[in-house]
Amino acid sequence: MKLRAAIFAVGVLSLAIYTGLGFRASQVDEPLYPSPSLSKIVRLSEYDSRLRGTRADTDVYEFGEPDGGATILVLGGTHCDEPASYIAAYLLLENIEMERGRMLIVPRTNRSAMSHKTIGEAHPPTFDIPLPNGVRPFRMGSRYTNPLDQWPDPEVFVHSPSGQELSGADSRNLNRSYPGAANGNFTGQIAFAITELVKQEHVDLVIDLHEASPEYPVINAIVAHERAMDCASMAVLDLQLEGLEFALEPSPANFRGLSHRELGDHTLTHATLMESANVSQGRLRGKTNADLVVSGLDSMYVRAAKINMTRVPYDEKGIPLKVRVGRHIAGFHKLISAFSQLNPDRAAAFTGIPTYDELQQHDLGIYLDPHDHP
Amino acid sequence: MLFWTYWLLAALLLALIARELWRASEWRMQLAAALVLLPLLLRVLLFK
Amino acid sequence: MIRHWSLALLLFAASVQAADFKTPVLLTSGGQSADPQMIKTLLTRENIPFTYEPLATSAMLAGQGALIIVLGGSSKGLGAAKVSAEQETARITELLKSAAEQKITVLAVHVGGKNRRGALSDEFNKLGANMADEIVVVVGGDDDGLFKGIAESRKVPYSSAAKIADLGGILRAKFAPAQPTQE
Repeated sequence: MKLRAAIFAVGVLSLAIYTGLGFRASQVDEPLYPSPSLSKIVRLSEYDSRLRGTRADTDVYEFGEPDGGATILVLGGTHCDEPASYIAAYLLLENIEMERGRMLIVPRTNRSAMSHKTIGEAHPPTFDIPLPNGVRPFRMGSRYTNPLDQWPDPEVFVHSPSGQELSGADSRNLNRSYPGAANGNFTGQIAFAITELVKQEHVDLVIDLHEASPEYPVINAIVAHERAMDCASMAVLDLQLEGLEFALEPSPANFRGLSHRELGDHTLTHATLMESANVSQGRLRGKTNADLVVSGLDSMYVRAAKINMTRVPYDEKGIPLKVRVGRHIAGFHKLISAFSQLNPDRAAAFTGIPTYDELQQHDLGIYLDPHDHP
Repeated sequence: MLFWTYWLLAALLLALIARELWRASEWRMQLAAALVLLPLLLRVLLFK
Repeated sequence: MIRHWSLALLLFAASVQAADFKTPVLLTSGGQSADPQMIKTLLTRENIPFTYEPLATSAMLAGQGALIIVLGGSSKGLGAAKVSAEQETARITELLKSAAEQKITVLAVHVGGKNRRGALSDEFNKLGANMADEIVVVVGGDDDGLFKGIAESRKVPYSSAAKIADLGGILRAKFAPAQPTQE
């Protein structure tokens, strides 16, 4: 009897070690290879010291110098189960060459959310992007801050300062927590640090990268705060001229906590957000694995599209990661060019970033190959 | 504060169930206890 | 040959139906979506003088040459503007009636594709289309022929554009016909 108990105990310990190592591995950042145009890397905790030493303290990559051009902030990985968001940010930071203005890139905006996965979603721990010689693995994370960092969830999440009530789990949703508060919860502290970054660095344009399921109404879209509306509508028209369908969505004035709403209201920046369609987040999806994340092809969505259940065109070609990243990159190009046209004295210029067509032609791996970097 | 209260509860539960695993006579009970131990152990070790 | 025929047809259509579009233009929304923002950008690019007021009423029609109403409802937009669907319907009705009385030409534009069709949007779509002097729809917004049907039954001009960006040329042709250059 005792022997059996001991055997079970050893079994449990072995399983705990095995799974524990897996969970630990998901907490290790994959290396990134910033372009030579990098001027410095600062930690987000520079803007709120309470984050120092926590799992949410993350790198802010700065390219270019303060030269009178615009300061632009790209947020990737606000929700870490939206891979096109952070892969686009990785691609930008590994390739960009600034010619005028400053580019700040936070590729893992909620780094805590990258360190675990949402229970019940069956998301793979990693997915591979093929390189010219081999593959490069990337982690898949969660929409929410790791409960190890903020736990337990309240019954109802009351947003500060508006008092808006959302479900308890949204207390760990960074994009419901802006502008954040000096005495807020952990996720609110991340939001507060980003808001401080925008203020202290005088960021002119914020581009927050996201994905959503194909049945979600705000999809293939640029969402813009009122101040950024002219810039965003110019960008949408330019994207359409290039054959990329984007919708323009106004930032809802009475839905609080979102980056475009709160950064727009609490700072002087032009706040925008982009959404692409990701079936691995969708509620109608079938088998969920690494292949689904990269190929974006799900037979259930092909059927759903046939009966008009999706908000984006969807067929047997799926919506692969390179298309989703390509859309974010295309939007990035057009938002910055529109901002520069509208504010010629604060114009920004850069090279090194592929166009949508180049990305589709050459594939993601060409631009994410670590061997290409010194 | 709330975090550590919950952590203490998890640790207490872990200890109680480990004791149960040790004391139970029936193998089914022992197996059930072992299975419940796993997530609590990962939680207490702050792995998950 | 076909091209000549279509050109002749176009000229014929223009001669019998051409609505009289003058400037300045009052640009408004029919359903409080963000779509008028795109038309605003196009008008700016084409140097067509305009005033943009999403919640325009008849009081703003004085001195205007034409009215462009961009159709399509957005629950978020209505919420943000703090108006109900009923209030929006009442405003649009009052505005379009007044425009008709004052003989101000009304161009109804639908640019939002499938997203701006559906129960909420169609209320405004039908209302606007039924009171406009001309209807322009971007492809995707009229797959079921709702707008075309209304245009045909009311005998008002109807045209479609492949994408929003193509509306620039259409607006230029209506509001800013090419002037002889003076060099």
